Amino acid sequence: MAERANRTVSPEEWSHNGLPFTRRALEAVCLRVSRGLPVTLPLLVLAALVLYPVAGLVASSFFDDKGLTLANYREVLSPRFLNIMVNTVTLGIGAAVLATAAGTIFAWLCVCTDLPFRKTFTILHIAPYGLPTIAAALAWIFLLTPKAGLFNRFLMWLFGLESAPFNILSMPGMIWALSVHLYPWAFLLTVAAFATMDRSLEDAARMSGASEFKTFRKITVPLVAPSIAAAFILVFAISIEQFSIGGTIGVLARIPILPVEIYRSIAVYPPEWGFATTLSVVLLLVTSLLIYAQNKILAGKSFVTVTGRETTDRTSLGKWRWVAFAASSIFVSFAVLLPYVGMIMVSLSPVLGADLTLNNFTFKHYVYIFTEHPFVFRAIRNSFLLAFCAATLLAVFTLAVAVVVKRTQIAGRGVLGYMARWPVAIPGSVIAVSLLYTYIRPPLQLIGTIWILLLAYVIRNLPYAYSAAYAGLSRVDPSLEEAARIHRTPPRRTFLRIIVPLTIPSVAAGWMIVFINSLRELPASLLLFSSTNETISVAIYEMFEEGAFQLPNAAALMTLISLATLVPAIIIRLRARDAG
Amino acid sequence: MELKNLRKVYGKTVAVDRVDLEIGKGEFMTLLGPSGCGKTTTLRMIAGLIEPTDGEIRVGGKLLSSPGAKVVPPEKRNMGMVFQSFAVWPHMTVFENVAFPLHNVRMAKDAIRTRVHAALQQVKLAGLEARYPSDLSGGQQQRVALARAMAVEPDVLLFDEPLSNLDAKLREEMRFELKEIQRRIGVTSVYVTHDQAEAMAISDRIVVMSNGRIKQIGKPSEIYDNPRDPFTAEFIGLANLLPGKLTGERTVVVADQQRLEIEGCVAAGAGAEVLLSIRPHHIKIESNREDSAKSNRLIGIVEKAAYLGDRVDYRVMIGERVLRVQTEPGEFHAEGTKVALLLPPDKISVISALLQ
Repeated sequence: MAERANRTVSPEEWSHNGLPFTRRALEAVCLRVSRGLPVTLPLLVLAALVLYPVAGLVASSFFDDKGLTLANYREVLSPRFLNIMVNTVTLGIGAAVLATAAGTIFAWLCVCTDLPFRKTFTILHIAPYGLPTIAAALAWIFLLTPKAGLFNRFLMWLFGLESAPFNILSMPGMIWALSVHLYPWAFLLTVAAFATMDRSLEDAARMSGASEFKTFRKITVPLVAPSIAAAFILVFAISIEQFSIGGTIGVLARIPILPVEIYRSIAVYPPEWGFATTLSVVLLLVTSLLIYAQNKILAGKSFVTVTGRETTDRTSLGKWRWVAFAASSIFVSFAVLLPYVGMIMVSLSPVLGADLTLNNFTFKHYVYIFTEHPFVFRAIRNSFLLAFCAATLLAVFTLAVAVVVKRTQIAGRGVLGYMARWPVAIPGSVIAVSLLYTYIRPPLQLIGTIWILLLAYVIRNLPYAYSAAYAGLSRVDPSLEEAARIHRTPPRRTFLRIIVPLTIPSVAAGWMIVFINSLRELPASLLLFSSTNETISVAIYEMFEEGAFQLPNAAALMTLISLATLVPAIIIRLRARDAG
Repeated sequence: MELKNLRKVYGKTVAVDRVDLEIGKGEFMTLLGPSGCGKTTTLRMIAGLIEPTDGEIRVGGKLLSSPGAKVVPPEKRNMGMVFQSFAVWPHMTVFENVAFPLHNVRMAKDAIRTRVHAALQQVKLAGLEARYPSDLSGGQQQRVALARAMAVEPDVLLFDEPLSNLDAKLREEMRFELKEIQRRIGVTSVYVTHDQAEAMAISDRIVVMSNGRIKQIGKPSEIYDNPRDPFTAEFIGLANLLPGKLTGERTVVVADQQRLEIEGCVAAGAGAEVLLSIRPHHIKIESNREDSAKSNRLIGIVEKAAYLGDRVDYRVMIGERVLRVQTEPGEFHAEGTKVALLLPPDKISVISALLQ
């Protein structure tokens, strides 16, 4: 006993008796690397997927034929660019103000008051999600072009007007189309804030002698303010990066905005590479800052206190109850339902602009797109195949990443999480330009193949799939996995038998989101498709570009796609809301 | 304060059913019952946060709520309330939280300052005025809520399970503190809890509620020693309920045809079925010696015995019935042995009301 205690090992003895120092160090490094593999490997994949093309794009904006230069940026500071910037920001602010105001008011009505039919309204307020943006844009064109617009003509007939009351082909028109399409984002964010707010905070104010109005002003509004601000920023960010409205209404109205100009400067011959890459960098910078700010605001608010209690007592609107009901009904009819009506009516009309009657409606456009159109059938097949592959790849990959980030202590896992969420700040057109720039030449010449589209969809949807997987994992008590490990289950089996089954609802929801997003993706598809690799949204956009005679066919295709995605899109959004 | 025939109906479910209650000035009254018994609904009706379906609420003779008449809104009732979730406003400092109700009664700035400091002193939070609630512990947040509720010197203080979000040790500490503060300022208080120990420790009187109805009202000792129905007996502490049949004025035949003497008056005559209640720690246990002259003995067999350190917990079979007995450790009776239980007549309460 004493002998053993005396036999302490000196450091010299260690290095002599054990392995040579260098080999030991090498082994230690190897061990660290292999331990870090769960982080390093996906990090490398993400770097190759996202960082490499985007970094290439940013770098290329500082070069021209002769070498390193700021010429591109100098050129960008032209009247043409300033005009684009002013348009883009005007559109963004206008849409963000309207969408946030509408979203907040309707969220309050649906969550906190005794508005009649509030459950039905909650679903209706989410219904714009069911309409692809390109479909919404074309629907508004059908309805509100100055002379031919269906709704304009209806109003002129109804009130005996001389001229059309609305013109969608204008900046206010674009702002309208965009805000009624995006207000569900603001609605859902503020619904979450109102619903999770601890109602006893308001009760406490009433008990402290504050009137109902003072309580609303001093307690309710400050508590949901961060969510409203976050909603505003989010809508602004989506507005300035979205392509569909600017690429249709904006083109007809000759109002250029950033994402559309990026597309057009590449689609022209010869392509203006310098201009496109520089605009992309500017747009990327702005959206990144906005998304960062939005995350900060949402993360920083410790205000919302979640309680399990269902509110039994809602604010009574009294005599305003039916006024609010009427206002909600009118808004929903115009903003939400009318585009669907316009789209379906046009798809059934013999030609664009014909008065639709019970005698002349026709399904010939539906027949046309499947039998005569050169590539709609192929485009549908391509889109579904791409959407299926992107959704499935992402579901598997992001669940694995979420497990590493949330369940391990490996250094660098935070970076991995950030990387997976980052593409939410990268506009579709920017992804397209950077992929175009990166993969147009060897060693990886993917342009012209269908793989480039898959790549674009995977990058764009990475954050949505990851968020779904992460949220699903957050709801699984870690002790369930610990129990598996204690009972000698190997990690892979734990993953397959415990984690996967328990997170499957969230992962499936994420899969569905990616699937629908991919079916509808426009800006990246438009820049990256090649013949035989068309997608549905490319087909719709081409029909739009071909002119009025093709528009009823576009309407027919849009109707089919909207119907196919409407119900799952709304169910997913409702589920996401219920899950908090 | 007076509640008369108070009712609240949600659709088809009756949350509170004809509650009549009088609370004296300065009294500390506790509504006690399991979750869903209507105690919180009753409290929120007193507060004015829920409108009653039927019935009257009066405070100091002033009518606050009655069917048909206009209901006084919560902010005009001059009450203070402490919530289960604390409900301390996260966007205001401690000072602003406590000052908020004082601003609402349009008090002068200086007066507010003194009042807030006094209130914070009462709850031992002086010096934390500038902190935000997110920097405070749960216990501190609850003190802020208490200071806020007292600051305006309300006619009535309402407590909605204020301690249930605190950990056990803090909960016991706060119990006494709450009681002491309430005594000091002498405000009429209505307190809601599902924790019977808390209710016993803190209240002047307890209202036991179940399924929206009042089961019993009384001082803690009355309720404990003399429960008047099976629900109260079992909800407050441990109780053995023993059905039996009256044979004489003071004699009951219980399980296994054994006889018990009882005290206290029973309205029913011989032959009536009664329910007896006795606390486990009031029963004495001894080895069964045939010669014993002691009365009120029940003979049974120890089914289970658990040594708990400060006491021994027995389950004893009397015929078909199990009686729970808790005694101080002394002579240990192993499982399976025959024992005699002594039930002191004055510790047996008779619950006849519910056995028609």
